[in-house]
Amino acid sequence: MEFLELSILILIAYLIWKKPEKEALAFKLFVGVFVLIAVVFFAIDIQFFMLPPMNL
Amino acid sequence: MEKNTRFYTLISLAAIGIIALPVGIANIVFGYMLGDSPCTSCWALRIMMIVVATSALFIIRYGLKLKYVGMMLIAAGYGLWNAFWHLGIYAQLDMGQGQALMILNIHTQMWAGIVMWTVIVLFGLILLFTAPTLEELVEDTKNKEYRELSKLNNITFVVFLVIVTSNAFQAFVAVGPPPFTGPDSPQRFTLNPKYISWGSLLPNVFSEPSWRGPMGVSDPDLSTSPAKEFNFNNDFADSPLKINKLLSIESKKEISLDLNAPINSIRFDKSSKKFAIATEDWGLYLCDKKLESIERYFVLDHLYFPVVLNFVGVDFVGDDIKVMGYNKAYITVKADDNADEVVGFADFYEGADKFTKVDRSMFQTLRAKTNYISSFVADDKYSYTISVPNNLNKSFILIKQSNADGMLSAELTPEIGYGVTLKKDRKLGELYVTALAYKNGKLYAASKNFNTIVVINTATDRIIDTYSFPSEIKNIRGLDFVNDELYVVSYQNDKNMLYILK
Repeated sequence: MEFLELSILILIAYLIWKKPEKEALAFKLFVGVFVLIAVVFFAIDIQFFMLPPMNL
Repeated sequence: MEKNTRFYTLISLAAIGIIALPVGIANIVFGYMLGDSPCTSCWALRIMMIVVATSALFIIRYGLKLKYVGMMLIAAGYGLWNAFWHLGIYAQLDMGQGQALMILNIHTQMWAGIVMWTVIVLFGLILLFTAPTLEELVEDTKNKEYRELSKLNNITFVVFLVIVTSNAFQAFVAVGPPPFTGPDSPQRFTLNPKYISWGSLLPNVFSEPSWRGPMGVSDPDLSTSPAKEFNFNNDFADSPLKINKLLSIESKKEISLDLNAPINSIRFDKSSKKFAIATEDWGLYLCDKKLESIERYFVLDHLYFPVVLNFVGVDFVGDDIKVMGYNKAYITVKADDNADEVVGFADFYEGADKFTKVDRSMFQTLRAKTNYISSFVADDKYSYTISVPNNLNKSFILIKQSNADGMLSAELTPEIGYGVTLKKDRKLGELYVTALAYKNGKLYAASKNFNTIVVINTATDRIIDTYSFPSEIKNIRGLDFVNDELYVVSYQNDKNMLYILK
């Protein structure tokens, strides 16, 4: 999934740089990939613990 | 306009900084040159830094819009949680232990947290000192959908694309295409297909979510708040150990002292002929031998550092009295008619004029780190306690703390000695020790579950004998020898009952 996430981020950077008129598309992709990154890692992590296993 | 230029220059430099330094060094130096491969969490941290940098690219191109600032702050916040999560796995290890490489004696996962913290602080400083006014922002993008990029702005995009593409290559080689995910325990980076293996942690996501992982243990059993996950059995016939001796009740009476809560521990001092009683609500009472009058008492302010959770044990250590909470934190006091009430204010709700604090500290353990305790006793050299099982951990661990320096001296599961039998497929962890006594080099550990007393030789750390006590005793909380008689305290039917066993 990391490869996919990074590939989308590269595409977003390219759009901002070379196709700046596509701001809305770039931002939608950005929000989408952020949600993907956050959910994938969160979903994996909470199988172990949500809060760090320390004396909190 | 000049202020605008300065602002976007700083944002460009910040974006280059986060991409070239943490992300670039991790990828090129650590990854390709030193063979370091990120774990799942490290990938997430690294990618979240790239998300922060992407927010900066949006700002450079489209101006300072709040939605980009919002994305940057959310990404930094998520990264801080992620770094905190990762730190938690290693924070309690010894110096130098952990995962992956260290920079300035700090592991990479901690550096990720520092980077995220820096993002928030640095971005705040840039906004504070160089952010353009609304009029300047409007002027900058007047009649345009986006900003024209400066040379430095363009370099920022180049640096971003080169480093992130390199990261994507590393991710493809080490992690693989979707649905593969970063490994939780990575091996070193290699381009040799023979040693590359891809896997995914996605199949089981959301199946068994955990709030606190191994630290999510239940509270121990107390008289006023019984443990929910245990159905205590007072029939010694069901004990995991075969019982060698049956104790019977010689006499019993109700303890009618005016105490602030149920008794959780009792101890007799041979020299002064007094009893010390510890109650569930942090009360310590010195009483006469007949348990009919209170000589003096205190009630602890349990929140003053360190926090002492409900008292579960008490003993006389030399001239002092050590009282233990179920979180292995304790206070050592001395009865003192000249105690300074003002000095004692911080430690005592009541009795500050009758006792002086000697020490207030904690047992720190390894094997029993995620276990609470429900008993305590001491001899001249050591303080002893035994872990109680919980919802996650059914271990039976004897803990010895040196009375000299207050440090852990031993932590072990006692061996089964000659003449003692552990029944087939049964475990010591089924016992729930709520009272401890010490006599002649032996510990007497009384389990509320199965009404069993385990005798442990402290020289060999072996269980050398087993006793049972009658099922009439439902909630044993105190145990001690008084002139060769075994005194037992049980809080049941809302009464503190004293039993003398033979």
